[in-house]
Amino acid sequence: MKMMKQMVAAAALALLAGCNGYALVKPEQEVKIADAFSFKTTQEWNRLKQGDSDFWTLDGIGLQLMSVKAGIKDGEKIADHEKAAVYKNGMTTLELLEMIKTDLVATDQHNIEILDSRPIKSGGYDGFIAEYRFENKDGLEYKSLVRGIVHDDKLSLMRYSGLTDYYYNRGRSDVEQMMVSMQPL
Amino acid sequence: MWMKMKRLIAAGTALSVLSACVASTQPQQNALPTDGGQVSMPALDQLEPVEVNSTPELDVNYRPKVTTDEGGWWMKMDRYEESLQTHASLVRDEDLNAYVRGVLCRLAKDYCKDIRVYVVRKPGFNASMAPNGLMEVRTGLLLRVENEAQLATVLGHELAHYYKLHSIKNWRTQRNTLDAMAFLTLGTGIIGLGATIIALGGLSSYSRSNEAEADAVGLVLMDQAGYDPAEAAMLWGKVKREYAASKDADMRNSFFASHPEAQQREKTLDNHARWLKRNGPEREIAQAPLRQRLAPYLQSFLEDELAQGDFGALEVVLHDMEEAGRAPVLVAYFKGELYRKRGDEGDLEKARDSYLAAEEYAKERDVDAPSGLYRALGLISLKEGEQERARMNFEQYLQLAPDAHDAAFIRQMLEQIS
Repeated sequence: MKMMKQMVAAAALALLAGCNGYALVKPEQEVKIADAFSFKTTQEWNRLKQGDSDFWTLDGIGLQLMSVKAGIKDGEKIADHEKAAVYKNGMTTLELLEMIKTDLVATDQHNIEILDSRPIKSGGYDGFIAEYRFENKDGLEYKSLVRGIVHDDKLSLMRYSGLTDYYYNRGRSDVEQMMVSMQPL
Repeated sequence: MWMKMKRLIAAGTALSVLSACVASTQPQQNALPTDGGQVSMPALDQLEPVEVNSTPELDVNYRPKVTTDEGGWWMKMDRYEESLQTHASLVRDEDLNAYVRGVLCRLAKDYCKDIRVYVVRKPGFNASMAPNGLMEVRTGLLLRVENEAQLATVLGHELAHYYKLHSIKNWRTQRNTLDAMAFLTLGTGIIGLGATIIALGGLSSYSRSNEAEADAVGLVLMDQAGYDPAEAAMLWGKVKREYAASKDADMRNSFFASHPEAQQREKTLDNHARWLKRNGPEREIAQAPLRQRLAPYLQSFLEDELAQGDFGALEVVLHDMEEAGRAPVLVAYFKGELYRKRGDEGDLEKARDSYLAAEEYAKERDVDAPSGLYRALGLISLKEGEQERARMNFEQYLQLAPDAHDAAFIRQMLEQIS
């Protein structure tokens, strides 16, 4: 929720400053992220670009949020908050999985549970996909689907989180398809 | 809670009522020697006599009128308490709550029924007391206390804030000071800025006197309850070393620190404790009951600390637990986890040695080592190019935890090795 709040605040600031606002992304559109990877959308999404990060939502970022961060290099943070975990070259997919959990803890999420996780290959590169369940500090339950790929010593991450069950489920199958279509460039 | 205090003072907001807290026990890092700061203690015949008025300034069953400022704060705290009761981090384990409450009641006696203790699953050394009798105790605090007397140190300190109405007194002082500041800063530029700094310093100074009084009253409460007050200085020494090793820069702000200066505090606590004990019988430390009650929770508490990534602070905590002979298998395992995740030069070797020590301790005691130990040893072996050793450790892990959530990852790595 802290992460959500930070993102809400970031989005609000961007709008106030007259910077990038939301853009509508049409279905079946190929989206390239930082020349690192691409994927195809499935339905209309609202997209907000903020620095190196991309935030996507259907109903509002407090309800469901997909963040996309590409080309994370050795020693760089995997998210835009102060206590974000740091990616290191040579991390195994298992260590990447641990890192995502650490990052959830750092954003004050509680009772984190890994519902499912498995290693994947994408375009010949190693990666992982995992689904988490957690509660924010107010006891609201969220689920999160995360897909990461390491290519050329850089990590690309797609993370989708939403309030269970309605808001999470509303975007989940679309996100899963987008994740499957995720290809390193 | 020091951070909270700082923000609240800056904003002059009402929530400062919550901030009479122990973690405020965080010292100023830049003022501390890295060796933990040996403090020379006076001989028994040179002890300064201690006069402490530990009488509560409120009656049992006290509740202020709602028409007063104090009544208003109680209502706010009551609402906060309602929200806390559904908080995800609240530890609902009845045994653990009953144990902490038991120690509190031994200190508070008749006032026990006026205090509600909430154990909150959060890392870090912290506890807090609200004026309406709401006490929060973090699991990170429970991890750090070595015995019941040290737990009583913190609970007694918090209780003293309640007895002495520190929160509301502090709030009134802040309100009056901020009113004065508003007057002084009217159209005065630099003079106004200077006045503001002086005024905020005054607030902080007032809070230091609260903390000193809470220390002194807390020791008397411990003593009266039969706990050894000497454990207070021991605990403070531990916390001081931990914060000196922490990466958290917020702890380094010395001007606004809300507690007495670190070394002076240790010296004062020791002096007071020896004065209280000068003629009296032996007091209790009660190490065994605390260790027994906390043993089932240590692994989850340590996981929470590890997830914070404050490796310097955790290293001190684990070192102290090791020195005290506490949970050797877990301590060695988490030292391994700390070094593996920190990944500084030489850390992989340290991690491997710690994991192997954990395995050895487990064999000696005929208990199970955490299954994650073999996964971690496999990962280290893989990084060191020792594929055969990695394979053996991963297979051992899968044997112990075939349904682990990461079993597919381990199997993939085994395939890659073969």
